[in-house]
Amino acid sequence: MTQHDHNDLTPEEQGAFEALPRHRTPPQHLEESIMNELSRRGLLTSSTSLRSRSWFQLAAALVLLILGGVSGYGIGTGTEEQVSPKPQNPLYVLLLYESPNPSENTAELVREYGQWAGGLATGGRFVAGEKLRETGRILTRSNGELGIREGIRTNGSSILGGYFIIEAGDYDEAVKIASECPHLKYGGTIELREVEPT
Amino acid sequence: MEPVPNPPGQAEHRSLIEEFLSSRNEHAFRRLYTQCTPPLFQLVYRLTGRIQVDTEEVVQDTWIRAVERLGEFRWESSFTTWLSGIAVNRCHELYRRRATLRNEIGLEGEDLLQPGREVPIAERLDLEQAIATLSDGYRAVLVLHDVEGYTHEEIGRLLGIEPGTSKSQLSRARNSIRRTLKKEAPKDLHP
Repeated sequence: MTQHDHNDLTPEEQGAFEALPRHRTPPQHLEESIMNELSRRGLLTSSTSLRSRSWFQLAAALVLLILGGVSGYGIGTGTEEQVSPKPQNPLYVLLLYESPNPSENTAELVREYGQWAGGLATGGRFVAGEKLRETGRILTRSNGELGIREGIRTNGSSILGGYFIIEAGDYDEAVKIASECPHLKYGGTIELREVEPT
Repeated sequence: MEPVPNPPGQAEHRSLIEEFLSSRNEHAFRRLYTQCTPPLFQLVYRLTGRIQVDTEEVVQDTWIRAVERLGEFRWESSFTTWLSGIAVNRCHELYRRRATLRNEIGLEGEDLLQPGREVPIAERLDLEQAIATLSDGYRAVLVLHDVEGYTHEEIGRLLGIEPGTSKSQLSRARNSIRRTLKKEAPKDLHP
Protein backbone atom coordinates (compact mmCIF):
# COMPACT_ATOMS: atom_id res chain seq x y z
CA MET A 1 0.00 0.00 0.00
CA THR A 2 1.46 3.35 -0.98
CA GLN A 3 1.51 6.62 0.88
CA HIS A 4 -1.38 8.16 -1.05
CA ASP A 5 -3.71 5.38 0.03
CA HIS A 6 -3.44 6.72 3.57
CA ASN A 7 -4.05 10.27 2.51
CA ASP A 8 -7.83 10.33 2.31
CA LEU A 9 -9.78 13.43 3.08
CA THR A 10 -11.28 13.71 6.54
CA PRO A 11 -15.07 14.20 6.67
CA GLU A 12 -14.47 17.88 7.51
CA GLU A 13 -12.16 18.31 4.55
CA GLN A 14 -14.59 16.53 2.27
CA GLY A 15 -17.34 18.82 3.51
CA ALA A 16 -15.19 21.87 2.79
CA PHE A 17 -14.62 20.76 -0.80
CA GLU A 18 -18.30 19.95 -1.29
CA ALA A 19 -19.24 23.40 0.02
CA LEU A 20 -17.23 25.18 -2.67
CA PRO A 21 -19.45 27.02 -5.18
CA ARG A 22 -20.25 25.14 -8.40
CA HIS A 23 -21.40 28.10 -10.46
CA ARG A 24 -19.86 31.41 -11.33
CA THR A 25 -21.61 34.05 -13.38
CA PRO A 26 -19.59 34.84 -16.52
CA PRO A 27 -19.25 38.47 -17.63
CA GLN A 28 -21.80 39.60 -20.21
CA HIS A 29 -19.14 40.71 -22.67
CA LEU A 30 -17.84 37.14 -22.87
CA GLU A 31 -21.15 35.87 -24.27
CA GLU A 32 -21.17 38.55 -26.94
CA SER A 33 -17.55 37.89 -27.77
CA ILE A 34 -18.25 34.17 -28.24
CA MET A 35 -21.36 34.88 -30.33
CA ASN A 36 -19.39 37.19 -32.59
CA GLU A 37 -16.54 34.76 -33.00
CA LEU A 38 -18.92 31.88 -33.84
CA SER A 39 -20.74 34.08 -36.31
CA ARG A 40 -17.48 35.23 -37.89
CA ARG A 41 -16.45 31.60 -38.39
CA GLY A 42 -19.78 30.78 -39.99
CA LEU A 43 -20.79 28.48 -37.14
CA LEU A 44 -23.82 30.50 -36.10
CA THR A 45 -26.63 32.30 -37.87
CA SER A 46 -27.18 35.40 -35.82
CA SER A 47 -29.65 38.22 -36.23
CA THR A 48 -26.71 40.13 -37.61
CA SER A 49 -26.02 37.41 -40.14
CA LEU A 50 -23.19 37.32 -42.57
CA ARG A 51 -25.64 38.17 -45.32
CA SER A 52 -26.78 41.31 -43.55
CA ARG A 53 -23.20 42.29 -42.92
CA SER A 54 -22.22 41.88 -46.52
CA TRP A 55 -24.77 44.37 -47.78
CA PHE A 56 -23.64 46.89 -45.23
CA GLN A 57 -20.03 46.44 -46.21
CA LEU A 58 -20.85 46.83 -49.86
CA ALA A 59 -22.96 49.89 -49.24
CA ALA A 60 -20.42 51.50 -46.97
CA ALA A 61 -17.56 50.81 -49.35
CA LEU A 62 -19.43 52.29 -52.28
CA VAL A 63 -20.53 55.30 -50.27
CA LEU A 64 -16.95 55.99 -49.38
CA LEU A 65 -15.94 55.56 -52.99
CA ILE A 66 -18.57 58.08 -54.04
CA LEU A 67 -17.49 60.48 -51.33
CA GLY A 68 -13.89 60.19 -52.38
CA GLY A 69 -14.83 61.84 -55.63
CA VAL A 70 -16.94 64.67 -54.29
CA SER A 71 -15.48 65.59 -50.93
CA GLY A 72 -12.54 67.78 -50.16
CA TYR A 73 -12.05 65.94 -46.90
CA GLY A 74 -9.87 62.92 -46.40
CA ILE A 75 -11.55 59.56 -46.12
CA GLY A 76 -9.24 57.66 -43.89
CA THR A 77 -6.29 57.41 -46.25
CA GLY A 78 -4.10 59.65 -44.16
CA THR A 79 -2.26 61.28 -47.07
CA GLU A 80 -0.92 64.82 -46.72
CA GLU A 81 -3.13 66.18 -49.51
CA GLN A 82 -6.27 65.01 -47.78
CA VAL A 83 -5.79 66.57 -44.37
CA SER A 84 -9.02 68.37 -43.63
CA PRO A 85 -9.13 71.99 -42.47
CA LYS A 86 -9.91 72.57 -38.83
CA PRO A 87 -13.70 72.55 -38.54
CA GLN A 88 -15.45 75.69 -37.31
CA ASN A 89 -18.47 73.90 -35.90
CA PRO A 90 -18.79 71.16 -33.30
CA LEU A 91 -18.09 67.65 -34.57
CA TYR A 92 -20.52 64.80 -34.14
CA VAL A 93 -19.95 61.10 -34.58
CA LEU A 94 -22.64 58.88 -36.04
CA LEU A 95 -22.03 55.33 -34.88
CA LEU A 96 -23.84 52.98 -37.24
CA TYR A 97 -25.02 49.70 -35.81
CA GLU A 98 -25.97 47.12 -38.36
CA SER A 99 -29.51 46.39 -39.27
CA PRO A 100 -31.01 43.06 -38.27
CA ASN A 101 -33.42 43.39 -41.22
CA PRO A 102 -31.33 44.01 -44.29
CA SER A 103 -32.81 45.24 -47.53
CA GLU A 104 -33.08 42.84 -50.41
CA ASN A 105 -32.42 45.68 -52.83
CA THR A 106 -28.74 46.40 -52.39
CA ALA A 107 -28.49 48.69 -55.42
CA GLU A 108 -31.26 50.92 -54.13
CA LEU A 109 -29.69 51.02 -50.69
CA VAL A 110 -26.30 51.99 -52.03
CA ARG A 111 -27.85 54.73 -54.14
CA GLU A 112 -29.63 56.16 -51.11
CA TYR A 113 -26.52 56.11 -48.94
CA GLY A 114 -24.60 57.76 -51.73
CA GLN A 115 -27.16 60.54 -52.12
CA TRP A 116 -27.26 61.19 -48.41
CA ALA A 117 -23.49 61.27 -47.89
CA GLY A 118 -22.87 63.15 -51.11
CA GLY A 119 -25.28 65.86 -49.95
CA LEU A 120 -23.35 66.18 -46.70
CA ALA A 121 -20.07 66.55 -48.56
CA THR A 122 -21.47 69.15 -50.93
CA GLY A 123 -22.82 71.14 -47.99
CA GLY A 124 -19.47 71.05 -46.20
CA ARG A 125 -20.80 68.91 -43.37
CA PHE A 126 -18.91 65.68 -44.08
CA VAL A 127 -15.62 65.17 -42.19
CA ALA A 128 -14.87 61.44 -42.31
CA GLY A 129 -16.43 58.04 -42.67
CA GLU A 130 -15.22 54.47 -42.57
CA LYS A 131 -16.61 51.00 -42.34
CA LEU A 132 -15.16 48.76 -39.65
CA ARG A 133 -14.01 45.19 -40.12
CA GLU A 134 -15.91 42.45 -38.27
CA THR A 135 -12.81 41.24 -36.48
CA GLY A 136 -11.07 42.90 -33.59
CA ARG A 137 -9.30 42.46 -30.30
CA ILE A 138 -10.72 43.08 -26.86
CA LEU A 139 -8.19 44.20 -24.30
CA THR A 140 -8.78 44.09 -20.57
CA ARG A 141 -6.61 44.42 -17.52
CA SER A 142 -7.61 42.50 -14.43
CA ASN A 143 -5.50 42.50 -11.28
CA GLY A 144 -2.64 43.96 -13.28
CA GLU A 145 -2.73 41.23 -15.93
CA LEU A 146 -3.33 42.16 -19.53
CA GLY A 147 -5.86 40.06 -21.37
CA ILE A 148 -6.17 40.12 -25.16
CA ARG A 149 -8.94 38.20 -26.85
CA GLU A 150 -10.12 37.97 -30.41
CA GLY A 151 -13.57 39.39 -30.88
CA ILE A 152 -15.64 42.55 -30.90
CA ARG A 153 -18.17 44.05 -28.52
CA THR A 154 -21.83 44.20 -29.40
CA ASN A 155 -24.73 46.43 -28.55
CA GLY A 156 -27.61 44.07 -27.92
CA SER A 157 -27.75 41.87 -30.96
CA SER A 158 -26.08 44.34 -33.31
CA ILE A 159 -22.47 45.21 -33.94
CA LEU A 160 -20.82 48.51 -34.77
CA GLY A 161 -20.35 48.42 -38.52
CA GLY A 162 -19.13 51.89 -39.38
CA TYR A 163 -19.14 55.57 -38.53
CA PHE A 164 -19.45 59.03 -39.99
CA ILE A 165 -18.08 62.23 -38.51
CA ILE A 166 -19.99 65.35 -39.44
CA GLU A 167 -19.91 69.03 -38.65
CA ALA A 168 -23.09 70.61 -37.35
CA GLY A 169 -24.04 73.89 -35.72
CA ASP A 170 -25.58 72.20 -32.73
CA TYR A 171 -27.18 68.96 -31.59
CA ASP A 172 -30.47 69.81 -33.29
CA GLU A 173 -28.80 70.10 -36.66
CA ALA A 174 -26.79 66.94 -36.05
CA VAL A 175 -29.94 65.04 -35.16
CA LYS A 176 -31.64 66.33 -38.31
CA ILE A 177 -28.72 65.13 -40.45
CA ALA A 178 -28.60 61.75 -38.73
CA SER A 179 -32.35 61.29 -38.96
CA GLU A 180 -32.12 61.51 -42.75
CA CYS A 181 -29.48 58.78 -42.98
CA PRO A 182 -30.92 55.78 -44.87
CA HIS A 183 -29.41 53.50 -42.25
CA LEU A 184 -32.48 54.14 -40.10
CA LYS A 185 -34.87 53.39 -42.95
CA TYR A 186 -33.36 49.93 -43.29
CA GLY A 187 -33.71 49.08 -39.62
CA GLY A 188 -30.27 50.07 -38.42
CA THR A 189 -29.54 52.11 -35.33
CA ILE A 190 -27.48 55.27 -35.12
CA GLU A 191 -25.85 56.50 -31.95
CA LEU A 192 -25.04 60.21 -32.15
CA ARG A 193 -22.26 61.61 -29.97
CA GLU A 194 -20.67 65.05 -29.88
CA VAL A 195 -16.89 65.15 -29.95
CA GLU A 196 -15.40 66.75 -26.85
CA PRO A 197 -13.32 69.73 -28.00
CA THR A 198 -9.69 69.63 -26.89
CA MET B 1 -21.87 30.99 -1.58
CA GLU B 2 -23.52 31.80 -4.89
CA PRO B 3 -27.02 30.51 -5.56
CA VAL B 4 -26.95 27.27 -7.51
CA PRO B 5 -29.64 26.96 -10.14
CA ASN B 6 -31.26 23.60 -10.72
CA PRO B 7 -29.13 21.69 -13.21
CA PRO B 8 -30.98 21.44 -16.50
CA GLY B 9 -31.77 17.99 -17.76
CA GLN B 10 -29.89 16.15 -20.41
CA ALA B 11 -33.05 16.06 -22.52
CA GLU B 12 -33.20 19.83 -22.69
CA HIS B 13 -29.57 20.06 -23.75
CA ARG B 14 -30.23 17.51 -26.45
CA SER B 15 -33.25 19.39 -27.70
CA LEU B 16 -31.37 22.69 -27.83
CA ILE B 17 -28.38 21.13 -29.58
CA GLU B 18 -30.57 19.44 -32.19
CA GLU B 19 -32.37 22.72 -32.80
CA PHE B 20 -29.06 24.53 -33.10
CA LEU B 21 -27.53 21.96 -35.45
CA SER B 22 -30.54 22.04 -37.74
CA SER B 23 -30.53 25.80 -38.22
CA ARG B 24 -27.41 27.20 -36.50
CA ASN B 25 -29.97 29.28 -34.68
CA GLU B 26 -28.58 32.00 -32.40
CA HIS B 27 -31.35 31.77 -29.82
CA ALA B 28 -30.93 28.02 -29.33
CA PHE B 29 -27.24 28.53 -28.76
CA ARG B 30 -27.77 31.40 -26.34
CA ARG B 31 -30.07 29.20 -24.22
CA LEU B 32 -27.53 26.40 -24.22
CA TYR B 33 -24.77 28.87 -23.35
CA THR B 34 -26.81 30.35 -20.49
CA GLN B 35 -27.45 26.93 -18.97
CA CYS B 36 -23.98 25.46 -19.33
CA THR B 37 -21.58 28.34 -18.85
CA PRO B 38 -21.85 29.14 -15.09
CA PRO B 39 -20.53 25.71 -13.98
CA LEU B 40 -18.02 25.70 -16.83
CA PHE B 41 -16.79 29.18 -15.89
CA GLN B 42 -16.39 28.15 -12.24
CA LEU B 43 -14.43 25.03 -13.18
CA VAL B 44 -12.09 26.94 -15.47
CA TYR B 45 -11.71 29.82 -13.00
CA ARG B 46 -10.53 27.31 -10.42
CA LEU B 47 -8.27 25.45 -12.85
CA THR B 48 -6.55 28.64 -14.01
CA GLY B 49 -5.79 29.62 -10.43
CA ARG B 50 -8.52 32.28 -10.37
CA ILE B 51 -7.05 34.32 -13.19
CA GLN B 52 -10.00 36.08 -14.81
CA VAL B 53 -8.42 36.88 -18.17
CA ASP B 54 -7.16 33.33 -18.63
CA THR B 55 -10.57 32.00 -17.62
CA GLU B 56 -12.35 34.07 -20.25
CA GLU B 57 -9.88 33.01 -22.93
CA VAL B 58 -10.26 29.32 -22.08
CA VAL B 59 -14.06 29.45 -21.85
CA GLN B 60 -14.32 31.21 -25.21
CA ASP B 61 -11.94 28.73 -26.80
CA THR B 62 -13.90 25.86 -25.25
CA TRP B 63 -17.22 26.98 -26.71
CA ILE B 64 -15.76 27.56 -30.15
CA ARG B 65 -14.16 24.13 -30.24
CA ALA B 66 -17.33 22.56 -28.86
CA VAL B 67 -19.50 24.12 -31.56
CA GLU B 68 -17.00 23.10 -34.23
CA ARG B 69 -17.28 19.47 -33.09
CA LEU B 70 -20.89 19.42 -31.97
CA GLY B 71 -21.96 17.31 -34.92
CA GLU B 72 -19.54 14.59 -33.83
CA PHE B 73 -20.87 14.42 -30.27
CA ARG B 74 -22.47 10.99 -29.75
CA TRP B 75 -24.05 11.43 -26.30
CA GLU B 76 -21.86 8.74 -24.78
CA SER B 77 -21.51 11.13 -21.84
CA SER B 78 -23.55 14.13 -20.74
CA PHE B 79 -23.04 17.29 -22.76
CA THR B 80 -21.67 19.13 -19.72
CA THR B 81 -19.11 16.36 -19.10
CA TRP B 82 -18.03 16.54 -22.74
CA LEU B 83 -17.80 20.33 -22.53
CA SER B 84 -15.78 20.14 -19.30
CA GLY B 85 -13.40 17.72 -20.99
CA ILE B 86 -12.71 20.23 -23.74
CA ALA B 87 -12.19 22.94 -21.10
CA VAL B 88 -9.73 20.81 -19.15
CA ASN B 89 -7.87 20.13 -22.38
CA ARG B 90 -7.66 23.86 -23.11
CA CYS B 91 -6.44 24.50 -19.56
CA HIS B 92 -3.78 21.87 -20.09
CA GLU B 93 -2.67 23.78 -23.17
CA LEU B 94 -2.60 26.98 -21.08
CA TYR B 95 -0.40 25.22 -18.51
CA ARG B 96 2.02 24.26 -21.28
CA ARG B 97 2.24 27.87 -22.40
CA ARG B 98 2.84 29.00 -18.84
CA ALA B 99 5.55 26.36 -18.41
CA THR B 100 7.24 27.51 -21.61
CA LEU B 101 7.14 31.07 -20.33
CA ARG B 102 8.61 29.97 -17.01
CA ASN B 103 11.43 28.24 -18.80
CA GLU B 104 12.08 31.27 -20.97
CA ILE B 105 12.48 33.51 -17.94
CA GLY B 106 14.62 30.98 -16.14
CA LEU B 107 12.16 29.37 -13.72
CA GLU B 108 12.64 25.79 -14.81
CA GLY B 109 10.64 22.92 -13.41
CA GLU B 110 7.33 22.98 -11.62
CA ASP B 111 7.28 23.48 -7.88
CA LEU B 112 4.38 22.36 -5.78
CA LEU B 113 3.50 25.97 -5.06
CA GLN B 114 3.44 28.75 -7.58
CA PRO B 115 6.19 31.30 -7.04
CA GLY B 116 4.81 34.65 -5.95
CA ARG B 117 1.35 33.35 -5.19
CA GLU B 118 1.43 33.54 -1.39
CA VAL B 119 -1.95 33.54 0.29
CA PRO B 120 -2.87 37.02 1.57
CA ILE B 121 -3.05 37.07 5.39
CA ALA B 122 -6.69 38.12 5.44
CA GLU B 123 -7.65 35.13 3.30
CA ARG B 124 -5.45 32.40 4.70
CA LEU B 125 -8.35 30.31 5.80
CA ASP B 126 -9.87 30.46 2.35
CA LEU B 127 -9.71 27.06 0.72
CA GLU B 128 -10.14 28.61 -2.71
CA GLN B 129 -7.09 30.79 -2.22
CA ALA B 130 -5.07 27.83 -0.99
CA ILE B 131 -6.03 25.84 -4.09
CA ALA B 132 -5.07 28.77 -6.30
CA THR B 133 -1.56 28.85 -4.86
CA LEU B 134 -0.83 25.31 -6.06
CA SER B 135 1.12 24.90 -9.26
CA ASP B 136 -0.92 24.20 -12.37
CA GLY B 137 -0.51 20.43 -12.53
CA TYR B 138 -1.16 19.80 -8.85
CA ARG B 139 -4.11 22.20 -8.84
CA ALA B 140 -5.66 20.48 -11.84
CA VAL B 141 -5.49 17.04 -10.22
CA LEU B 142 -6.88 18.27 -6.91
CA VAL B 143 -9.73 20.25 -8.48
CA LEU B 144 -10.71 17.47 -10.84
CA HIS B 145 -10.61 14.78 -8.15
CA ASP B 146 -11.67 16.44 -4.91
CA VAL B 147 -14.00 19.12 -6.27
CA GLU B 148 -15.33 17.69 -9.53
CA GLY B 149 -15.26 14.00 -8.63
CA TYR B 150 -13.23 12.63 -11.56
CA THR B 151 -11.45 9.30 -11.10
CA HIS B 152 -7.68 9.02 -11.45
CA GLU B 153 -8.16 7.11 -14.69
CA GLU B 154 -10.28 9.94 -16.12
CA ILE B 155 -7.80 12.56 -14.92
CA GLY B 156 -5.00 10.59 -16.48
CA ARG B 157 -6.74 10.60 -19.85
CA LEU B 158 -7.59 14.29 -19.65
CA LEU B 159 -4.15 15.48 -18.57
CA GLY B 160 -2.08 12.90 -20.41
CA ILE B 161 -0.54 11.42 -17.26
CA GLU B 162 -0.56 7.96 -15.64
CA PRO B 163 -3.27 7.29 -13.03
CA GLY B 164 -0.49 6.61 -10.54
CA THR B 165 0.96 10.04 -11.19
CA SER B 166 -2.45 11.56 -10.62
CA LYS B 167 -2.70 9.74 -7.27
CA SER B 168 0.70 10.83 -6.05
CA GLN B 169 0.13 14.43 -7.17
CA LEU B 170 -3.22 14.47 -5.41
CA SER B 171 -1.59 13.27 -2.19
CA ARG B 172 1.06 15.95 -2.35
CA ALA B 173 -1.48 18.63 -3.26
CA ARG B 174 -3.70 17.69 -0.30
CA ASN B 175 -0.75 17.83 2.08
CA SER B 176 0.25 21.20 0.71
CA ILE B 177 -3.26 22.57 1.17
CA ARG B 178 -3.33 21.27 4.74
CA ARG B 179 0.03 22.85 5.53
CA THR B 180 -1.05 26.16 4.02
CA LEU B 181 -4.31 26.32 5.92
CA LYS B 182 -2.84 25.08 9.21
CA LYS B 183 0.37 27.08 9.11
CA GLU B 184 -1.29 30.31 8.18
CA ALA B 185 -4.36 30.12 10.40
CA PRO B 186 -4.54 32.84 13.06
CA LYS B 187 -3.40 31.49 16.45
CA ASP B 188 -6.60 32.45 18.27
CA LEU B 189 -8.48 29.96 16.14
CA HIS B 190 -6.14 27.15 17.18
CA PRO B 191 -5.93 26.98 20.99
